[in-house]
Amino acid sequence: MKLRLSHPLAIVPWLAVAVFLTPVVLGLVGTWLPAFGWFPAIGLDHFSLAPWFNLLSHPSFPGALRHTLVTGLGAALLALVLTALLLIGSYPSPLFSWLEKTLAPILSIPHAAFAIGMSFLLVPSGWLVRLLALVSDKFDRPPLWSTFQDPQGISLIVTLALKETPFLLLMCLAVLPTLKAQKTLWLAKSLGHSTRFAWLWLIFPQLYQQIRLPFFAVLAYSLTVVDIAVIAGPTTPGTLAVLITQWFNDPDLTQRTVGAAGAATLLMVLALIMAIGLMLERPLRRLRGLCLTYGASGHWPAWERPMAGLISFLLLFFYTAALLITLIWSLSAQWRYPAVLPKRFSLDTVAHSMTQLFDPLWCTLLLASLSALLALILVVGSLENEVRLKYGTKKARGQKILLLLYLPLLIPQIAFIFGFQVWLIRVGLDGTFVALLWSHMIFVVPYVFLTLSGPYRQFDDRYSWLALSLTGARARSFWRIKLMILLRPILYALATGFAVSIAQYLPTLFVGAGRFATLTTEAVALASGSDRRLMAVMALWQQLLPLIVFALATLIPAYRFRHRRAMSQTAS
Amino acid sequence: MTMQLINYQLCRAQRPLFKAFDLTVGPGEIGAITGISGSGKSTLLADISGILTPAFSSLGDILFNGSSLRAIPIERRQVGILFQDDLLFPHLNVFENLLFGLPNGFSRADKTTRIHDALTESGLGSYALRDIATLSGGQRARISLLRTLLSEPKLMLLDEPFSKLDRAMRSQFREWVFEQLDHQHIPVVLVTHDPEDIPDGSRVIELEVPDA
Repeated sequence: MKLRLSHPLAIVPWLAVAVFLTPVVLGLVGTWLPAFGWFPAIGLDHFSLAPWFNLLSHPSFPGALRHTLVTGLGAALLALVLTALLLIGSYPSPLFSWLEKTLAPILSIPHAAFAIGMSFLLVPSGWLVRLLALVSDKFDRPPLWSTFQDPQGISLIVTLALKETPFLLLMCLAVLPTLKAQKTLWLAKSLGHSTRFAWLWLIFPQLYQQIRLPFFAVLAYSLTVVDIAVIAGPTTPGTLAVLITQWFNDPDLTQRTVGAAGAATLLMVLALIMAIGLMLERPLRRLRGLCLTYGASGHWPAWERPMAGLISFLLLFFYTAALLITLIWSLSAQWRYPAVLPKRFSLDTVAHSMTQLFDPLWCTLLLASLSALLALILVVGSLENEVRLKYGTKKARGQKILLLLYLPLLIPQIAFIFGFQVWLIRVGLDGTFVALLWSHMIFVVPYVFLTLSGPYRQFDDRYSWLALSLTGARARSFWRIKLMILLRPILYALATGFAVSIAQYLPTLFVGAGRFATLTTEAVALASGSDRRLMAVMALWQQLLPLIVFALATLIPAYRFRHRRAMSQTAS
Repeated sequence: MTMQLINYQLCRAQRPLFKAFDLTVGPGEIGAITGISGSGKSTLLADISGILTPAFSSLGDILFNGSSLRAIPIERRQVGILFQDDLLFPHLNVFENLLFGLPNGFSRADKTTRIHDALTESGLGSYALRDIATLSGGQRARISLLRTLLSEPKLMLLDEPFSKLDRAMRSQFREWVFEQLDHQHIPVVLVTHDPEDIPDGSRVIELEVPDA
C-alpha cells in the first residue's frame, strides 16, 4: 500500500487506524518491557527475569489462573452453546427478525451495570431467593451457601455468558442469510435428515468460519474482563485480570513489573487458546466428513425447540429482572428480607446521590458524546474515501481493514492499557482529558466502523451523482442527500459508539490516573461496598444513558421521516 | 449547444469494450447508442456525465460546444441524467425533490411557481406534498424527468429510462419524455438495448464488439 495524499480525505483512514492502533502497539511494548524488568520510570534499567519469577511464585497466581481459565472458557463456550441451541431450536421464525432489531439496545447495557443487576438477583438475600421464599418456608432466612461471587466462579460464568450470547446471536443473524440457511434446512429435511443434523453438520461449520472473529473477541473478553470479574467473580484470589489490575495499582511500584509479566502471560494464554481453537478446526472438519458419509443423524426427540424457548425466556427474564431490581433498589427506603418488594419507596437515595453523581455523570456524558462524534467523523471520512477511490480490489482491502479493526477487540485491554499509560506519563499526557478521550476512542472507533460500514457501503452512489448533477454543489449534495438518507444508520452508529464509551472501565481507571471518575468506575468502586442503594442508582444511570441514546437514535429518524414510507424500511 | 464524441472508446483492463466511434448530437437532436448488455453502454454515459470509475479508461475526446469536458467535474458539467430507476430522494416529498435541483438564481416564490407549473402541465398538479413512496411507478418516472429538466441541464443523458416500466405505460411515457425533451432544445444521448425506444430521426450508433 502506498500512501498518497492527493486528496484531503486520503489521510482520514490512516488517521482512524492510527487513533486505535497506536495505543495498542505502544501499550504492548510498554507492557512487555517492564515484564522483563526494564522500567526506567522507577529506576529499573536492566533486563531481568525477576518479574516472571515473582509472578510464578506468587501464592495467588495458580488459583487466579485457574479461575481465569474456568470462567473465561466456561463463559465463552456456554455463550456459544446457548447461541447454537437458540438457532437450532427456532431459527427461521419471526422471533429472530424482531430480535435482530432489539438486540442492539440489549448489547448496549454496560457490563458493570448488568453485573450489579445480576448481583441483586443472585446473592443469598437476593430477589430469586426471596421469590422462592414466597412458596417455601425453608428460606425464611437467606441461605448460607454463596450464590454470588462463588469460589467456583459459576455466577461469573453465568453473568458473562448472558452478556455475550446476544452479541454472538447478532453476529450469527447477520451472516445466516448469506449462508442460505433456510434453504439448506429445507433441503436437508426433504432428504430425510433432522433439523439438528442440518445445523450441526451443514450450517454450523460454515457459520463458525464467519463468526470466528467475533467468537474470539468473546473469548478474549471473557478471559480478561476486569469490571464484571470484580463484581461477579470469585475472590481470594480473583481472576488473573483482577489480580493484575491490583498489582498495577499497588503502592509498591515494583509490583507493576509483576503486573506487566501477568498481563504478558494473560496475552500468551489467550493466544495459545486461540491457536488451539484454530488447530481443532481441521479434525472437526474430518469428523464432519465422517458424519456426513455415515449419516449419523441420530433420532433423539427434538429437545432443542423447548430448550430454545427456555433460553429465550431466561435471557429475557435476567435482562428485565436485572434492570427492574436495580430500579427498585435505587428507589427503596426500607426493605427487609424476605419481602419481595420494599416496604417503603423514596427518592431519597436518588436525590442525595445527585451531588455525588454530578461529576461522574458529566464526565461520562462528555466522554461518550465526544468520542462517539469524533469516531463518527473519522469513520465517515474513511468510508467516503473508499467511495472516492472505488478501488477494484475492494474485497481484499476490506477484509484486511476488518482484521485491523478487530485488533483492539481481540487484544485484551489489560494487556496494553498499562503500557499505554506508561507512555502517556512519558509524554506528559497522563491524567488529561484528551488522553482519556483518546483511550476511549481505541474501542469506540472500531465499533462505530463495524456498525456503519455495511449500510454506508450499500448506499446507491447514483443518488450522489444525481444530486451533484442537479445542484452543482458538493457540500449540499453530501449533507442534504447522502447523510440524510443514511441518517438512521448514522445515528445508530453514534449510539453504539456512545454506549461503548459508557461501558469502558479500565481505560478510565488507568489513563484517567484517578483524576476522572465515570459512572462505570464509580459503580465498580461502589460494588465492593455495602451501600446497595447508591450502587443501584449508579448502575441505573449507567443502564439508562445508552438506552436513552438508542431510543433517540430510533425516534429522531422515525419522527423526521414519519411521512416517508420508504425511509422507515432503511436497514440499519 | 452540441455534444461530440470523437474517436471515442472505453477500455477495461486495457481491453477495448467496443470499436471506437464518432458521434455528434446538436441541439434538439437525439443520439441513440445501442448494444448488447455488457457492451459498456451505461459506463459510456457515466463517462460523459463525469463519474467514470477507475476500473475503466476512456480514449478519444468528449466535447461540448467544441471544448473538452474531460477536466470538468460532474457538478460543473450541467448534465441531466435519467436512470432506469427513478432515484427520487426517499426522504423528500415531491415538491422538495423538484426544489432540490432548481438553480439558485430564482426567488423562493419563483421556484414554487415553476414547480407547480411543471406538475400541473404533467397532470400531477395535486401531488406536490405527496410522499414519493406512495406514487405509482409511472408517476415517479415522470417526476424524475421533471426534476432533471427543472435543473436546466445543457445536455441530457438517458440510461435505459423505459426498461423498468410495464408494457402498457411504456410507449405512453416514452412519447411524453421525448415531447418534453423537444421543448428544451438541448442535445440528448439515449442508451438502450431496445430498438423500439429510439425515436425516428435519431442518430444511431450500434456498439460493435472489437476484433479479437
